Amino acid sequence: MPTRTPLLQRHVLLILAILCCLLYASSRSSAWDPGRISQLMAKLHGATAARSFDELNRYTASLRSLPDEDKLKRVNEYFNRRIRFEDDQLVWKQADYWATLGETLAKGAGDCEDFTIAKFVTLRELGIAAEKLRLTYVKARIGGASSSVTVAHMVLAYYATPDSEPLILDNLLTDIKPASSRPDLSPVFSFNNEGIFAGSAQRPSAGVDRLSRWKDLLLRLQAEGIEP
Amino acid sequence: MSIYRQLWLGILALMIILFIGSSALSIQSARSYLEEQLFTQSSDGATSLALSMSQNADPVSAELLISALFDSGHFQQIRYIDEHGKLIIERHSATPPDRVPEWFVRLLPIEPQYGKALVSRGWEQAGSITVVAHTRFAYASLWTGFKRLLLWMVLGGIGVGFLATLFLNWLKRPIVQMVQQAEAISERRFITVPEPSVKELRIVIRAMNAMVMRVKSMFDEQAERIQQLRHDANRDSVSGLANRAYLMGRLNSALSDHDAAPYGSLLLLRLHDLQEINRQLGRQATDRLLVRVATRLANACNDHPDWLAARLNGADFAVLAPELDSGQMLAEQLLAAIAPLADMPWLVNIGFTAYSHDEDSSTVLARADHALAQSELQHGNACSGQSQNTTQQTSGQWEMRLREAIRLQQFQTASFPVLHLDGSLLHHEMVLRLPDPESGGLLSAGQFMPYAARYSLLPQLDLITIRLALERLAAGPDSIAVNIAPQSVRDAEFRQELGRLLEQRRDLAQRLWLEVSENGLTLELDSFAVFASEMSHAGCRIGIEHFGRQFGSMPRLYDLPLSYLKIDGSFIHEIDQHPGNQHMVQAIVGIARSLGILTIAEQVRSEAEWRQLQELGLSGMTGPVTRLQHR
Repeated sequence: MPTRTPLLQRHVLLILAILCCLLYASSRSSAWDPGRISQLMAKLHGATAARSFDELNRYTASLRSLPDEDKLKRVNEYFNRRIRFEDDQLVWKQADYWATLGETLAKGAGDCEDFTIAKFVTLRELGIAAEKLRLTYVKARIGGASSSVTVAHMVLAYYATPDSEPLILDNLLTDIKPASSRPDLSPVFSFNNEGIFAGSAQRPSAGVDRLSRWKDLLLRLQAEGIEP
Repeated sequence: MSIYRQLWLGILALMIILFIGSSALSIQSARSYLEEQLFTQSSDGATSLALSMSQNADPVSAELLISALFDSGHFQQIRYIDEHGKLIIERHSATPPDRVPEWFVRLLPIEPQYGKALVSRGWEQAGSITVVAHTRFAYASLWTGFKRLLLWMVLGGIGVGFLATLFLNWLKRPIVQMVQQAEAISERRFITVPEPSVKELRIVIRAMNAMVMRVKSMFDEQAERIQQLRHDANRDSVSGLANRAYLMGRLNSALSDHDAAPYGSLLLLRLHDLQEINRQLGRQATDRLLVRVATRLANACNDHPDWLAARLNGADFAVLAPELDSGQMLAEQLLAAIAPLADMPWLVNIGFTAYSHDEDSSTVLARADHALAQSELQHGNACSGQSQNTTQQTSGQWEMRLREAIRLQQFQTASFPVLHLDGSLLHHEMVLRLPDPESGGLLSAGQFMPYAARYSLLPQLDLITIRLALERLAAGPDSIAVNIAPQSVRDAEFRQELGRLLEQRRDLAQRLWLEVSENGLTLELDSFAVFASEMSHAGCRIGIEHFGRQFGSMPRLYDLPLSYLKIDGSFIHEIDQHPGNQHMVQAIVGIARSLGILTIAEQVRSEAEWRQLQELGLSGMTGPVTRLQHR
């Protein structure tokens, strides 16, 4: 039957096309859409945030082809240089506030969590797997090796493999060092975005006050068009 | 299905849908709320467990920590997976929910999401913790909520059903009345119903009521016209009594009706020398005297609906008194009442005579005239005449005789044909006959019915007639009419028994015509209305015989489910020479036709009357002439 084959072919082509789209979409799940994010940032946080984001976006675009180690280094340097370290009390008039990427870019300032979040989000965008990154609460000893003064601090840890020694991205140091070279830090607890939205059904439906801080942050990031 | 039931079911269905919908919605939202709660609980459990394990990283502590959390009973699964994805520890509980039926669990599954947290050992990764909160408490809570909802649903359903019933009952009342009114109209009865408060129904009922009122007033006007015509044609204009023609009609009926009394008296009364009175008193005073005489005569007839007083002409009056065997006493009474009316020595003479059934009217009149002439020979106020010289049985004997006849079922029947105009049979009118052992002949209804009435045996005799009529209906194709006494119509026991009889022979009821004489009817109008409605429901045709005989009142035809009227013979008598009665009969035929009622003329004697009645548009006729016309 001469008419049947083209019809079937057309169907197969259509299905293949749909599958390709789906695959592309899923492979790009961590990538952002710069135009849209820029617009949202302008709307949510003002022109400064949008400008800073565009700059960040241009920068990250140049990093895409580099190996992971270099991406880590460049991103760490970028934020440590561009963002001022300021206490939350000063920036946000709150004791402890977890700012989104847009908020941090808008203020140009943040504390250790804000640095860590911004780096996490950017590295996820650069294609680094979520399970390799962990936001880690640490006790930081300040004032030299013999000092007993500690402060609560947060850093981003990078695990090349599950049992390798992590690399530490710290806003206090421009260099990235392995954990063993950071005797001043003792880890307490770590997390990433795994298991937060377990399954697609768990989209937020309850009030924000009932969410964990991390989940709340992820939702606010979503509002900026960022899905880490 | 009635509108009432439809509305009720509609409201109920609506409420059930609403209830089920809202319950499903609320159960569903409770379920997703519980699922979220469970997720929060799972996340919290995972995080705190991971935190503790990160501080105490050795395997024994890890196991202890996991067991401690698991044994709290709030979690159905805890898994610890190391950094390479290998399962290290798993705790799992499959306890089913308490007191929650399995179908409910299957119907509304609660699927809790797991909570996950990462464990580390210093800077080293140590795997992850996955925690799933236990669903049985959620199921128990959902089940309790469901039961409560179900209870409310049932209570609400009962409440709504009750309210709906109340509401619909309220709404139904005017509708039921409307339907009754419509049914009545289709049966050509015209009733009005109260206006309801529902706007749309009020408009409809108002319109129907207005229509009914118009129809009623139309019929009332028509009836009034008939009264007027009857009055004009049959009344003497000066005295207000019946005129000569009407008296002659009634006398003929009394002598020849098969149910008329077997005997009676006729009195003739003449004022002496009316011209002299006229000359002495003047015309107006004479007219007044005539009226006063008429009043005395009418008073004498007051207690007897059958009796009739009439002014024959100028100075001549007459009283027809069926069932009165001697006119002597009545004549003396009248003499005493009338003589003092004028200051004259010789004012009035009365002649009276008895008559018996089947005599010729001219013979009776001639005899009464002769008696009057005898009285006038006395040249003063006087009366003379002759009484019936029959051997009357005493009343007591009659009672015994009738009771025995009822007990032994001795009654026989006779029937008279009632014909359509074309001479075909309309029905037979059936009457009772009682065998008379003395003469060997049969006694007519007129002979024994007065005694039956006196001893309240009429309902029994009527039932016997109807039984005999039903037997004959079963045997042949003709319709049969039976005369029912007003006393029977009033008798509830009789009506009940008749209803039972007709119930047994529903097939025959269609051909049974029941008629009641207008004579006693005006007093029994309410019970007749009940009787007529019951019997027409049973399938019988209901009629009035001797229609028009009672002056002054005419039953409202539109209030009764009537099938036919038998117009009294006194108007039919020589109708071909009586334009007044022609007008009246024509008016009756007109009103009856518009109500779907047949009109039948009684006591038709001559071909000339027959032809006249055909012209007037009657439906049927009965009387001596049927012997000639019946084909």
